[in-house]
Amino acid sequence: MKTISAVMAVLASAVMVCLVALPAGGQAPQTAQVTQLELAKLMVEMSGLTRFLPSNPSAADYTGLLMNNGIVPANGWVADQAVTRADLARVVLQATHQANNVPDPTNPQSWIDYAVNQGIRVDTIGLATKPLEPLAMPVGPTMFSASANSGKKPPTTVPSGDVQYGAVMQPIRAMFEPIFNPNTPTASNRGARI
Amino acid sequence: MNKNLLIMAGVVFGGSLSWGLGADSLIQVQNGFRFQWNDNYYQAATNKTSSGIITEAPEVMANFNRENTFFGLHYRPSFMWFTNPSIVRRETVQHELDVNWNQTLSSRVQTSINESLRRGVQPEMLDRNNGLVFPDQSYYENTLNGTLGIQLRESTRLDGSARYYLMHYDADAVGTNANYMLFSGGLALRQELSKATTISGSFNYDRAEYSQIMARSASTMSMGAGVDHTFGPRLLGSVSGGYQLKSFDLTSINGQNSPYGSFSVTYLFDPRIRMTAGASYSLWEADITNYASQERLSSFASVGYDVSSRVSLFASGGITRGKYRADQSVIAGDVVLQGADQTTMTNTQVVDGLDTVYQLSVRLSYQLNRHNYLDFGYAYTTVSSDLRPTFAQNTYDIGWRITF
Repeated sequence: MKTISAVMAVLASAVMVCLVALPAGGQAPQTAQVTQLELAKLMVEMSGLTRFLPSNPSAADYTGLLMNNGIVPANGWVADQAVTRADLARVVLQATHQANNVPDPTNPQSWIDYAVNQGIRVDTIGLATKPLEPLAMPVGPTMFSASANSGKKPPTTVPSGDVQYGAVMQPIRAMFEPIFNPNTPTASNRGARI
Repeated sequence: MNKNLLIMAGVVFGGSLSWGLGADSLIQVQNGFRFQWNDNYYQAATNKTSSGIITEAPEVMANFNRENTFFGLHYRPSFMWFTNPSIVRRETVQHELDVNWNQTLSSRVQTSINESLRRGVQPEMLDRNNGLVFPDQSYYENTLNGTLGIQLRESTRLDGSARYYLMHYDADAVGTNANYMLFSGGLALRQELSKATTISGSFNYDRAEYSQIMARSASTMSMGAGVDHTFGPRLLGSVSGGYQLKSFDLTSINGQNSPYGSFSVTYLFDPRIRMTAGASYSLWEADITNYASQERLSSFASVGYDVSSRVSLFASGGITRGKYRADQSVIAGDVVLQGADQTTMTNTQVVDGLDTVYQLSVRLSYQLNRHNYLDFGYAYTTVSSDLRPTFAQNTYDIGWRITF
């Protein structure tokens, strides 16, 4: 039984290595029928960033959120461009905080090789994103939500003050709403805070 | 033996984390522990109240991912202890709950429901004579969004959204002016012009209802258009603009029609350095309770820099300016409410004025290993205002975050 398992494991590894070692003409091969926008949506979900999206997110909402967390393919996010294995390796390594360990970041194959060495299977989107987990220090949108579209406004309060682990900043509204009254007797030396 | 025990414990722990959600699901537990020093907790001009704040915040995140269904859950209670004995309620707890459900109903129709609940139990404050300076500011804030998206054509999408928002303070002294509900509905039509450019048009209707102070209740209609454009691999930009019509329930308060607009850009200097900046102008809920509305102009910039594989640096700055009009005072004539209980009446003039908030924040994050992070932060806030006393506040914090 052990022998059969070992043979199966060796065969599986060999098949995987063959797939990884197939860049044609220096170009990383493309995974089938998956666009970068689909990958971006999956990356947002797997990285625990969904809660930072508005309820009707656009493609730019997905890609901008990922860019703010340092997750971006070599040539940027292009919504309907097919995903390459190099880009897949890159964004997964970025999302797992391993991007700075890639020996030759300018070489797409280097990303693939490093990912494979880390046990990340970049053959398919599903396999590659398997090791992803919510980011420990996600960077969400700032409180300066500009849109007049009420569907895009985030909650106004941040109870613990650190919903985003980029730079922590209180929403403006949380500073002195609602109790602040400029004419209260104590207002000259005391403000209010949520 | 010890090794076996460790393995057993690991298996049991891991198994408990992935309980019931299957192979494509993920539950992650994190824990944050932070000490913060705030030199002006109550945002006072003088007689500042400083305090150390110890925060313990466990966090649970769950993702349930299937071909047509995504369900995400995030819950974080924050237990806070204040070291300053002049703060009456020195132990507080805050809750944050976020639930996201995305469902693909067919190849052309998707729906999503997003729920965010915040519950804060806030400190009160007594002055030296044991008098109440600030009442209990404990609150519930709930946001429920629902969206139905229809892919009309390959490059055309229509989103219908609805939103229910509730802000409720426990104490009457606070809630009288500030408890309100917001009902919103809107349509957004998006058309992809090219690989890099998407245009959109939107219509929104908002209805704000304050439970006890009718003067702040209002209805707003917004119509506008926007463009998202990818300028290149490293530059992403969005711009939108339109017109808003706001009317108040009280006919004595002048309604207001105003253009609105916003833009933001995200730029990657190189893969390790990224920047987002933007600005907006629009009508907004008033932050100062004597007024029914404000015209808000805000601008911001944020930079993230991965210094090394272990060290990341973040910095953000922003300026927000609110313009308030005397003819939108919620107080009849020259009479304004005074006192923490908001019951004393005097004849103080309500004037036109500007209120400007400046913020700066820096954070350094150090990854000890795959599961442990240290972070160091500093934030500065100051206010310049025609309508209220100014203040400055500095906070310093050091935190430890562990992921399991």
